[in-house]
Amino acid sequence: MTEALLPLDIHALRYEVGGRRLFEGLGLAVRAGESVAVMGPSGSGKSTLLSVVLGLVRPDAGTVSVAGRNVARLRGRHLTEHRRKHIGMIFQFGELLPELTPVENVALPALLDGADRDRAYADGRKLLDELGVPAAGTATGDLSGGERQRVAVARALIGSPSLLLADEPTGALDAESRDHVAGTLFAVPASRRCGLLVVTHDPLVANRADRVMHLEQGALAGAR
Amino acid sequence: MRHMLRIGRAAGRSAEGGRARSLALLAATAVVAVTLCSLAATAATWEGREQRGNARVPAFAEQGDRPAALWSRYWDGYQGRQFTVVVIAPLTEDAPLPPGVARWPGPGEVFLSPALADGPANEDFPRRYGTRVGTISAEGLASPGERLAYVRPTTAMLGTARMEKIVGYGGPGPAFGDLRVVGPRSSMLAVIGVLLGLPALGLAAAAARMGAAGRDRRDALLRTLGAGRTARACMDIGAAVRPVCAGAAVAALLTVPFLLTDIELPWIDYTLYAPDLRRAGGTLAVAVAASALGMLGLILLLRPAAVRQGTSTKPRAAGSGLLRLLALGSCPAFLVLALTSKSFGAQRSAAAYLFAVVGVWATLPWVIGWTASRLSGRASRSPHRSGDPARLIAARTTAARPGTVVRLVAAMVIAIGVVGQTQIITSLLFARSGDEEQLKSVQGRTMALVQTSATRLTDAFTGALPAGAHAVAVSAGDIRPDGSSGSRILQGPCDSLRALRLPCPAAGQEAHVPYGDLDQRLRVSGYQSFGPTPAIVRTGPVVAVNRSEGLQAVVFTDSDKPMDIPAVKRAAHLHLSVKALAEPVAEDGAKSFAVGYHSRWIPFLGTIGTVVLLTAMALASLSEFLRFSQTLAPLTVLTGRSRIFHTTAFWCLGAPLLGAGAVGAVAHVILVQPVTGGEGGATLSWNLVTAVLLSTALLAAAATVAGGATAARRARMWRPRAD
Repeated sequence: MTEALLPLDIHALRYEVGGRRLFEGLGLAVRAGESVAVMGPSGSGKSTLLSVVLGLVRPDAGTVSVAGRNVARLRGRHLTEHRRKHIGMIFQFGELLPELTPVENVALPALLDGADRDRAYADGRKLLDELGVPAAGTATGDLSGGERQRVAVARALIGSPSLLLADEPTGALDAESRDHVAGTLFAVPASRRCGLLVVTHDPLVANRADRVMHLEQGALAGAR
Repeated sequence: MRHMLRIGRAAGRSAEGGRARSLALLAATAVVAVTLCSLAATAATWEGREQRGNARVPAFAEQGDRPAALWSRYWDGYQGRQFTVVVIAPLTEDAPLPPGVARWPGPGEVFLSPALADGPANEDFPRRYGTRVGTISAEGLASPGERLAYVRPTTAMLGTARMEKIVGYGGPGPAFGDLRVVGPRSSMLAVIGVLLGLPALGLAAAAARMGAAGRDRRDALLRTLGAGRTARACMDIGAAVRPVCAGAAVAALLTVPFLLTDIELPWIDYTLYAPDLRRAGGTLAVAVAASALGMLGLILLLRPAAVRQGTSTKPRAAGSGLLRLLALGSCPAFLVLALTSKSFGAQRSAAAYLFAVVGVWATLPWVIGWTASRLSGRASRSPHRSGDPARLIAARTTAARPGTVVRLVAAMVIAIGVVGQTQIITSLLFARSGDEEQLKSVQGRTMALVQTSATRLTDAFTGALPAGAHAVAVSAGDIRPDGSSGSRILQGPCDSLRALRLPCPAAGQEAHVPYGDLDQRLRVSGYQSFGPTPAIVRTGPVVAVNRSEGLQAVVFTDSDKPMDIPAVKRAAHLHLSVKALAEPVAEDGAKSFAVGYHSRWIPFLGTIGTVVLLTAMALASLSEFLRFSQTLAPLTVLTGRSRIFHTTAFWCLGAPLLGAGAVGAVAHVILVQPVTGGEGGATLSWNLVTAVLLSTALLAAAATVAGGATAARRARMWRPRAD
C-alpha cells in the first residue's frame, strides 16, 4: 500500500444504461484510513457504482483509479490481477461456502491466488481472532448471521487490499449483530490503512463513516 | 386461477436454473410420451400381426367340400433364421387368392415378400424357388419386414410333395410365418415397461424436482401469505405447462413419421407397419396427452417433499437412517446370495440369482455414497493440509451432502447394471439359440444337409450343383428298439467318399469309421439325428437306404472352399422335390438363431433406457452443482480464478462418476461369475467392460467440462445486486 496513491479516485464518471443516465460527472476520492458511506434511494445506482469500481461494468466516460490505476481502462488478466491485489469486497449475504470452516473460507482467496497454505491459514486465523470469530471446529453454515458477516470481513481483508468495498454489509442482520459488524468494519481503515467504501440504506451504519455521500441524479453530494 | 398460472409462468422463467428446468421438463415429457406411445404401438402391432396372420391360415377342405387349391408349406433359412415358403397350386378357375397376392402365379412362378425380393443378391431369392413374378403386398404379411414366399411348382414337380386340399383362407388352424417365432405381446410390453418405462419415470422425477429449492422457498412464502393448495398448485403448473406441452408436441412430431410410412428399426431388423399404428392413432393421441397430464401430476405429487425438507444447513446423511442401514447391510448379503445361488437347483437358482442381482444393483449406490461420505470426511483434512481449494470444497460438500453423490452414482451404477445384464441375457439366449461362431464360419458353409422325399438324386439336381460339389447319402443304421440308431450309414461314389477322407470299400463290402475320425462337418450336421455314433461306409449311388423315409444327403466341397449354398438350395427346390430342405452346417437346424435375434430387443431397448437414465442423472447433478457453484461466483469474480470451477466440477461430478464406473464394472464382473462358462453358459464381454469404462471416462469428462464451463459462465455474469 502506498500512502501517496489514493485507494479510490473517481473523476467525471458518466454511465448510461437502458436510456437512463445513472452517473453524470460523478466524482469521489477515498483516502487511506478513511471510510465513506454512500446512501441513496433504491435504483439510484449504488450497487452499479461498486460494479464500476470493481471493473465489472465499464463506464461511458471518466476515470476510476484504484490504487493509482484506472480500472476503466484495464482489461482481462491485468484487471483481475489489479482487482485481486487491491480490492476486498463484503457482500450483503456474506456469500461464504457453508460447508467450509471459517478459516478455510477466509484462506480461500489466498489459496486461489496460489499463496503458501501455511501463511494463508495463519493469516486467516489471525484475522478471525482479531474479529472474535472461532476459526475452526464448526462449519460456517452453523455460525450466527453476525459471525458469518465478520468471517466475510476477514475474507475481504486476507489480501491486505488498498480498498475495501461493502455492499449492504449489515442488510441481513438484527440490530445487535448489525452494531457489532459495523463496529468491526469501520475500525478496519484506521487499523489497516486502507480505504473503505460502504453502500448502505441504513443511516445508523452510514453515520459511523468518516464521510456520508448521497447518490442523487447521477452525482454524489456530501451530507457531511 | 388464470392469474396464478400466469404468475407461475413468469416465476418459472426467471427462477434460478429456469431454462435448464424447462429443457429437462420438455425432454422428460417427450420421453414419457414416446414410452407410452411405444406401449400403444406394440399392442397395435401385435394385434395387426395376429389379424393378418389369421387371415392367411388355410381353410382345409372337409369331406364333401369342393377343393379350390392345393396348399403346403415348409421352411427355408437366411442367416440361421427360418422363414416360411408356401407351396400352392389352384385347382379351379375361381380359386381364392392368398392375402397379399395379386394374381395366381403360373407354374414355376413365385411371389416373394419385399424382404426376400430385395434380399442380398448372392442369396438369389428371386430364382431360388422358380421365377419371381410379383411381390406379396403388406396385407398378406404379418409385418412389412417378414420373409415369406408363395411358390407354384411346375407341373412336373407338383407331385413331388404331399399337399393339402383347401377351400380358402382364414381357417382356424395354426398360424405360420413370423407369428410362430415372435414372443407373446405381454413379454414385449413387460420388456418395454421395465427397460424404457422405469428410466423414463426416473427422468420425469429428476426434471420435476430440478431447481426445487427456489420453488420450495416460494411455496413456503406463498403459504405464509395465505395462498391455498389450489393457488400454489396453479403456480407450479403455470411454471411447467409450457415446457411440458412442448415436450408432448415433440413426442407427437416424432410419432407422426411412423403413422405415414413403414419404418425399419435400426439393428434389430424389424419394420413397423404404418397402417397398424394409424389404426391406433386415437390411443397414441391419448398417450401423448396422458404423458403431459401425468408430468404435471408428478410435479404436484413431488412438491410436498420439499416442504418437509426444511431449511437446515446441517450436514445430512445419505437417506434416512433405517433405509441406509438396511441397504448397507443387505448389499453384501445379496452379493453372497448371487455367488452361491448355483447350489439351489436349476429352477430356484435362476430366481435366486435374479433376485440377488437386482438387490446388489439397487443397494450398491448406497454403499458407494456411504463410503464416499466417510472418505470425504477424512479427505477434507488432507486438502486442508495440502492447500488445494477445489479438493477442499468438493470433500467438504460431499461430507455435508452425501445424498448428492448417492443420486449421481445411483443412475450410473444402475445403468451399468442394465447394460451388463442385457449383454449377459443376450449371450445366454445366443448360447442357447446357436453357436454364433459356427454361423459365421467359412467351414460351416462348405457343406449342406439336403433332405427330400425323393429316393435318389436326379441328374438335373447333380448337374445344377456348384462346380466341385460332391454328394454322399446319409441314413441311420443299427436301429434300436427305442427308435434310436447305433450307427450312421454313409454311401456314395468313391471320389465323394475320398473327398471326406473316408475309405472306399469294394462293392458289397463295408468299412467302419469311429465317430472321432469323421470329418468335423459330418459330426456337426449329423449330431442331432445320430449323436456320437460311428459310421458304416459303403461305396454306391446316392440313394435312400430306407425308401419310405426319403433321401438325406450331404452336399459338400473341400473344407477350405465356401460352397454356393443358394445354388444348392435352388437345385434342391427345383430338381429334387418342391419341399426339399437344404441346410448348411453353419445354420445347423438343431439350434434356432431366431431367439438370438429376437433377444436383440433387450439391448436395443436397454440402451435407449440407459441413455434416458444417464440424461436424468446428468440433469440432476448438474443442477445441484450449479446451485452450489452460484455461492462461489462472487469470490471468483474478485479473484479472477475461474479455473476452480473446472477443478471443483471434476471432484464433485467427474471423480464420483469415474469411481462409480469402476465399482460398477468390478461388480458386474463379479456378479456374472455364477452364470458364465460351461456349455450353454453366458459369456462375459470384456469389450463391453472396456466400453463401459471408456464411456464412464467420457461421461465424467463431459460432466466436468459442462459443469465447469456453465458455472464459470454464470460466475462471469455475476454482479452485485443489493441495490
